[in-house]
Amino acid sequence: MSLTEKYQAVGRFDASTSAQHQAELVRLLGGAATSLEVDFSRIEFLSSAGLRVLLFIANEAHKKGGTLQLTGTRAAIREVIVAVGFDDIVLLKD
Amino acid sequence: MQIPDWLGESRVMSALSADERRHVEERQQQANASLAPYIGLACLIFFSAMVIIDIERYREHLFNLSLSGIAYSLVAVCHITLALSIVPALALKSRRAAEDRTLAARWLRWHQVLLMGSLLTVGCVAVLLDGKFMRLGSVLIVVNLLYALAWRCRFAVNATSVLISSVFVLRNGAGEALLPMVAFGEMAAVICLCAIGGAVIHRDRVQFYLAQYRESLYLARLREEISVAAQLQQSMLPAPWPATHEFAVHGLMRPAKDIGGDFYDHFIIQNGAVCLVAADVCGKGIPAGLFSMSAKSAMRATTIQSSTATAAPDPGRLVAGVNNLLHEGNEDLLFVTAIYALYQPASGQLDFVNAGHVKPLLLNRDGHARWLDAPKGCALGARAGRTYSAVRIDLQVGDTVLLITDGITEALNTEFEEFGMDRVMQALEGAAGIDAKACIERLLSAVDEFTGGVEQSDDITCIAVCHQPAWG
Repeated sequence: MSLTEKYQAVGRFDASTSAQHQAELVRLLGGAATSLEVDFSRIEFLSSAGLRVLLFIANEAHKKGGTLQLTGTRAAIREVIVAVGFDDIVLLKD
Repeated sequence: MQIPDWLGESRVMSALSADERRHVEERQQQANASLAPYIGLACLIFFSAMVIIDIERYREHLFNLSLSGIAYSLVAVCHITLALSIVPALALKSRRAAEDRTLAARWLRWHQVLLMGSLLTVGCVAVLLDGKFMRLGSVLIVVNLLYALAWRCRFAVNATSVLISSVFVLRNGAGEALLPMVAFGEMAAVICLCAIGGAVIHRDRVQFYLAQYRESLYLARLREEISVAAQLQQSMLPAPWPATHEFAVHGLMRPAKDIGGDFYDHFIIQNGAVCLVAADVCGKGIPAGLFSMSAKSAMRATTIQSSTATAAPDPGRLVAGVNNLLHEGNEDLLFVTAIYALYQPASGQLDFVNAGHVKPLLLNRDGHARWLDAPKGCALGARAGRTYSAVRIDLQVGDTVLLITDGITEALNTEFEEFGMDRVMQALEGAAGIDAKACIERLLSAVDEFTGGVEQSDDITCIAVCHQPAWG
């Protein structure tokens, strides 16, 4: 059985906010959920520290047999994820 | 229930080192100095009332040579001393006191000595003259509660206060009507509580000052360590820069904070090839800096190892090996994006791998610039088992390849605009026949001009290699 939890992220996803996002995402993944769907439509900025959190969470989901999916990602942020080659680790959906 | 720690402050202070005690005393003095002008104002009101009483006593001819007359005279002198103590207290607010710290300290000492001396004398005279402890008690409350005293005095002051308050109840309470006895009891309780309160407040303040002082020492040491580490990090980046007729390399790493998460590397391997790296670890500061050093070592070790094993190492497979090495035991999943290049000075052949990094720029002898595309590779250390493929380009005489990090393309100006890849190109286009060093200088001066003094938010790294530079 696979269960997907949803999460809404807002604002900047950088060094100052990533720890908070990470804690929240880890908590969501700590329950029965195996996959996470993060609404990225309201994220304005993604730094490398934020990318590390996405990578970490994707790995946690992968261990449970699930995935990390981002929805509504803006073009500029999508570019960042593609540029570091994380587009097959973190699934991007419109 | 915890019994109040009467000796608290004295015990804390006596256990301190000379340095710590000096610091705490300095802070206490500062607190006293900021309080003194207000006490001075309060004394002004008190003094005005006392002057009226003294004038009244003078009119009633109470200042005579009898015992009580002498006592009244002494009290009047004390009132004048009290008035004198107001002057230095108010003067502490003046500009001269702010400018001259030693003068201010002297004024404060004068104020305290005059104030406490006169108040305590008045209190003692009241006890001697008509056996009233009330005034001495009040004086002790004021002195004890408000000012930070020399720590050796505090216990004596506290003990006297409590002793007086008990004498006060015993002398006034026994045999009287019930109502005044309750009032005296309450007064005694107030004196006692103020003594205890003063002791606790001042002990806590001493501990607070002490904690701050120790924290500041720790921070100073940490700052020192970080600056040493930053110097060490710079010295771990390779120098000097080779500049021969065959090739020239130049670059730099300018961290945003003391420690950077970027690094570059260049070294010659066994088959004569030059290995060039520009890399950027995710995040910033000390964690990124530590990971960058381990990534740099991993790249060097893997390159040297495979260059001894095979005559022409495959950069793609080499980077894949580095990726697996960096992923191992990397529980926090730090990753590093990099351009890894192997350049043959003899033939001008340059193979490079792009692991999630900013594209390299090729600047030819005529000043034409173009970005070099390569198959997209994943950032290193993120996932094991990734594959990477290299792209080969043949450098012509005078060609320069520039590797940068996103600290350059994402440098912000006062309008929050990014420098961007286009401006990198604009900065270098038309620069015909420049070598590696000139290329780096030109790019950085363009970045600095663009940012216009805005604080650097990310590490800036660039390294350029020029094939057969036209020296002279």
